[in-house]
Amino acid sequence: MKRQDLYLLSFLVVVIVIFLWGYQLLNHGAGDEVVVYVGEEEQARFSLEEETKFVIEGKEGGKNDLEIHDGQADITEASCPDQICVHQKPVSEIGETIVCMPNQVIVTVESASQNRRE
Amino acid sequence: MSKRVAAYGMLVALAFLLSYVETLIPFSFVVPGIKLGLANLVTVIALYCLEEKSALAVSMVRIFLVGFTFTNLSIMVYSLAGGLLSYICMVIARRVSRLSVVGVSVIGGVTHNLGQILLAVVIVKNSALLYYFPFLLGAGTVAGLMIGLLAGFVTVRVKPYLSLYERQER
Repeated sequence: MKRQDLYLLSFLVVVIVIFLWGYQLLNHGAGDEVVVYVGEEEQARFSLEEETKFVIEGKEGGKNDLEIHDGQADITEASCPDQICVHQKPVSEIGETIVCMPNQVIVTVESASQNRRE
Repeated sequence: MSKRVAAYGMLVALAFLLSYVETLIPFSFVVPGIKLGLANLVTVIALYCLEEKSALAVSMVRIFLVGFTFTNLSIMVYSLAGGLLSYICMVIARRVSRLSVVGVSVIGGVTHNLGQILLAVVIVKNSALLYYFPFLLGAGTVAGLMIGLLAGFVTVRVKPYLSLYERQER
């Protein structure tokens, strides 16, 4: 390992810390809405306060089971082989996102009161 | 020629095996879906022990083999995007920067994830995916660091033997 390697590593660490710090600042607090996208299209929108179960119809016949409970959105079952979205932690903070790449399903938390989308 | 074929075949087999070994170890404890990219160890070693194009050949053959064996076409394009971008960036970094194998590997790890997330944004057409960017950046850094350190140890030991295959060509 050379000194240049350490410069590169410290640069990357600084960039990551700045990003995470930015997340803390921007996405402060809990969101109240869960938005489900399949690809670029918005498919459904739920309140985080209501207990809901919903089957998301993803691309190419894929399915993801979305469950909202205790103010958190969680994907409990998926048809995809990797199950990455199922293993992800439930989301509740603004900006937090669960993605299922094979089904192109994106579940993201937003705030209805201060909607950040244009 | 035959010695060279043997060397490439050996490296591809090793990379293929490492890809399989990795599926047995769950690395995704921080962010689900994150991998160490053990197979990229072979790419880095090939880059330092053989020629640049041999690293590309070994990495591409491995991606196609693993893609058709363990996953499918739609997942394989992500491996290709990551593999190609990280290869290009590692070659440039090795040529122009004064980074050691560790730094070059970190560049590779970071750009591998960058290539994948950019392709994902293009395919899914949803920028909400960029939420993962800093996590992938961190994962790429850690993975690149570990692969780079390993590659450093291995390169010192195997280079005399591997470069033998290359030198007999000329």
